[in-house]
Amino acid sequence: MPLFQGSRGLALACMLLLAGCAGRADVYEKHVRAEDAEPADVALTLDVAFAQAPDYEPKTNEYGSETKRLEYSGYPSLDVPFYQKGVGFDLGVLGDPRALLALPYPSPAIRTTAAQLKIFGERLDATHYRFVVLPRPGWSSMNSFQVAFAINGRREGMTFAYSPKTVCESRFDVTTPTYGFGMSVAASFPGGKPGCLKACDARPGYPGQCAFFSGVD
Amino acid sequence: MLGWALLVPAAAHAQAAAPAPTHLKATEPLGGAFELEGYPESNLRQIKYRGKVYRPLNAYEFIYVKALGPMQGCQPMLLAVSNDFMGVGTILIAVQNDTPLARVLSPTVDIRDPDMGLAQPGRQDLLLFTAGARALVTSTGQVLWFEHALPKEYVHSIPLLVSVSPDNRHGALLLDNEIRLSVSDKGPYASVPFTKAMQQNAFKAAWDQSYAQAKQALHEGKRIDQRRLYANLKAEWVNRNFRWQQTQDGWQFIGQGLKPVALAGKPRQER
Repeated sequence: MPLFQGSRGLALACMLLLAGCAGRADVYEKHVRAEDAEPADVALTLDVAFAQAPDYEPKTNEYGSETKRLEYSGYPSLDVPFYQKGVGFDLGVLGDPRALLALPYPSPAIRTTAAQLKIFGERLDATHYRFVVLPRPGWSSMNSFQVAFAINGRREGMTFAYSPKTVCESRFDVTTPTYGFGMSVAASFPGGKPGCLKACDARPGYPGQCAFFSGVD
Repeated sequence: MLGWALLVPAAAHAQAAAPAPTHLKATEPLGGAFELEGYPESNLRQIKYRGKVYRPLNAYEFIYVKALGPMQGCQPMLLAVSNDFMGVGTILIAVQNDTPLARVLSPTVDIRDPDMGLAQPGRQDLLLFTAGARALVTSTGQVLWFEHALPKEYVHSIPLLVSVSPDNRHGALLLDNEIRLSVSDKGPYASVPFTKAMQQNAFKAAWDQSYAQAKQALHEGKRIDQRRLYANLKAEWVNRNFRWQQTQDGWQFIGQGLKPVALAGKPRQER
């Protein structure tokens, strides 16, 4: 019994020690506005003409006391998912736990963490908005985003996937899945280079999980 | 000894079952570039488009997939019902710009008794999905959705789409105390004062019928959605007792001696 408890305690101590090494990811959703974006950072510019004017009641909320955090709401935005791969630990067991000789040990495993960036669009007029896709430092992009908006309080999302490497027609009309709102989109890539944008039909609210085009290769 | 006794019949069975390899996935064509893939002994299928798995709205297994008839983008339109824990009900899949895209038809998630729509009485090509306030024009594959609330209005009752006008632009939505008339893409414009008391009288027979049918189905070992059956019977009753009429004020829904009243708030205007 003491042996068992000792080995368990050792493993636990090891785990705590090693867990300290893994950095803590900043998984909060960050809010930015298209107007505040550095032109050099922009990965894609998306011009959207909505068939019906989306709700526009912009609000700015401030959170946090020491480090201020700004959040926006009330008008169309892009939700951009990101991921980060890090090393975590799985707990394995050597031997039979019933025989009191079991030795728990940690084994390294790849952990994926997800985070979102919410980029609010620039309103050109009631139905025309310009959105930008920005990178998030330290995070990998899924090359996908969702245009999130509401019409008369009905929230809707349309997901897209893009790639700067392939070339396709990046200007087309789509109909949203839930309420059938029409929108025509046109993507332009930095430096006027060609690229590819595809409607990707994910579950509204879950961008990054494309229905058909995942990473438009 | 016991282990051997268990193993022998299994081996004998394995030898008897020879030709069709049921452990391998089989593919069947669905028309156009669409295919269905699944294990022969399972009734769950995956949809493939141009050889790649297509997961509309993140659902990847379907209990029902069928070509509707009309084509879009040189590909057939598909009516599909997802496996229940995928969280997506009945959907329509149509190809736009060589991309398959889905539209929600019914939010009902039920594989025992999936919502396949109610054919509107008197119409050949219209399926009503009462609970989601949506309708499908089966000859063109057009999906209609009707808003029941005015901008900023809170409506307590849950709407049921009970009828669509002959021009496929106007819908009648049954609420607790009225029938709302709504234009697709614009919102409600008129209200028929078909009150709660009138509805109670009118739908008594529909309730009894749905109760009897659900009981009968249960005796036969099937489980049906009595709530949806009741909603569909209500829609049938409304279609028998009201009719669409085009007047100088637009499309009106006339019946039971009731007169539609224009709603105070105008339909949503472009700002």
